[in-house]
Order: sequence, then structure tokens, then C-alpha cells
Amino acid sequence: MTDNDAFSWRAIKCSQQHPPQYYSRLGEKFLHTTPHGKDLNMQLLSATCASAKIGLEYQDILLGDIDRQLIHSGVISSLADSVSGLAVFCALPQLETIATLDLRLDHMRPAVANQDLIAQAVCYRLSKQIAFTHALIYQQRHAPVAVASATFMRASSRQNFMQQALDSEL
Amino acid sequence: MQQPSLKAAIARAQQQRDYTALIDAIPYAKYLGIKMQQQDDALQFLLKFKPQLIGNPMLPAIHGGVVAGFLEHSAILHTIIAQQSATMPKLFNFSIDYLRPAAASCLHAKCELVRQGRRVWFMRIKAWQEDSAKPVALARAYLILQ
Repeated sequence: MTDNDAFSWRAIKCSQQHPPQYYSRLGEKFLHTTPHGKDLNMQLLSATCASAKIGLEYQDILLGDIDRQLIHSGVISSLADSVSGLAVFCALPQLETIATLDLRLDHMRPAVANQDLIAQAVCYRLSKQIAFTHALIYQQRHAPVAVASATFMRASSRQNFMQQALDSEL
Repeated sequence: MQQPSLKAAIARAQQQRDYTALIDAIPYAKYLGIKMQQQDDALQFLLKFKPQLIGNPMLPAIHGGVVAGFLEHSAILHTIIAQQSATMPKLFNFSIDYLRPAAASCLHAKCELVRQGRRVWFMRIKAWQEDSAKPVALARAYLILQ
């Protein structure tokens, strides 16, 4: 183990493995049943056990500073919240409703116009009540725009909109 | 056609208290539908509900990222108006605690400038819906002035 390993965030190993297509279906449903994700046109890039990656194509409405052509930091928050939530859904043995308790963002450099955004997240700890996530948002892989950490409360309500969406498909 | 400049909009907002033009000059704030008003010397921010802002359609609740974005933007606008210079502050650190789900109705926000340093400002932001004693979220932000 190198010193650097202490700083990398690893997705938990899921106790109950789902088939690979379960995660991609879950990811697609998640982005399509969330009106805000759909409105911004968030796209699923990949989803697997306890981790997820979504993309957001650049569009002019995302700008926060038209003089310097920079994307608004609020866009990054939306992406961070969505991708972190999806990573938790991908870590759960069965679907349950989750609620974001807190979200913390470090905006390391501005996101620029005309480049798509990519957000990836892992759920690195899933306890009985709480899920912990870490996310990275970037335009160029080697130069992250922001890092985010979040915690989610599990089973926040009995009804799960994702479950309904998946059920209605069958 | 000349592009509207953000700098010009900021200057106008500070001189004439014309905040609509300032919001219109920020595409993402316009997309979310953020409004801003002066209420007995304090700035207050408003996010009108629209279906595109929903994150959880079952409750229904406003997307957590939208609440965060709204509060981040409130902090930025508050700084712009308070700092009296026509530049856009840079928000580099933001943290939000979600206390209650944000229902499908108007969101209000108010900022408190806690520490006004020479280069860095620290702010607390509160969001509520019907009752300001029952906040939906509390956030904090660090901004660099430029």
C-alpha cells in the first residue's frame, strides 16, 4: 500500500451483487424520473456497484459569468447531488428512499463554457442509517473542477419513486 | 448585436437598485427563476416553484442541487450588492445542511455576512418556505473578492 492510497476513495463492496444491467437501468431511471435531471439533460455514463458517473452537455443556460464565459457553481452542486445520490442507490441491497443530509463542495477551479461536465461518485461507507459519498466533477480528467462529499439518510420514507418507476416497467 | 455585459449589469444594480437586469445577465439564475428584493434594508432572495426544479417526484420535493445552487447564488448576489465593486466574486467553498425536504412551493433565502475580510468573505445562508422559524436548509459559503 502506498501513501497515496490513503487519499483515494473506494466504493464499498456490495454484499448483494446485482447483474450489471441492474445498475444501468437504475441509473437511467434515476435520471429520467428526476424532473430536474431530465430538464438539464443529465446523461448516464456508467453505473456499477456503489459508484456512478454522469455527464452534462454544455448549454448556454448553465453560465454564471457571461463576461468570462464560466459555468455557474450551482450547476456543479446539482450534478454533485445527483451523482452522489445515484452512487448510494447503486450501493443499496434493495431500493429504499434516501434523503441528502449534507453536501459540501470545494470549487477548485471554474468550469468553462463549451465543454461538457462529468461527475463521478462513490459510496465509500454504507451504515445501517447513513450513506457517505465522495464525488469528483471535471471537464478534463487531470484538472478537477470540484470535489464534493455528502451524507445521506437511509430509508427516509417508505415510498420509493424509483421502485415505482422500475415496477411500472415490468 | 452587442452582448449584454455582466459588469455593466452589476454596476446598474448597485446604482439604480435594478436587480432584474442583474439576474437576467446571469443565465443560470434566470433559468432557475431567482428573484431578489430589498426588504427593510435586508436583501431577500426568492425562488419561485416550477415543476422542472423537482428532484423527488413522489413527495414532491425540490432537487437538493437546486436548493444548493439557489443558496450559492444568493450568497454571490448578496456579495455583489454589498461589496460595491463591479466584479463577480468567486465562491470556492460551500456547504449545506438539509433540515427538511423543500416542498413544491416558493423558497426564500437570506444571507448573513459573518466575516468580512479584505480578500475573503464568510457568509451564512438560511432557506425557508412558509415559516422562517422552520428552515429548509442552512448553508455556509466562502467567497473570494476580485
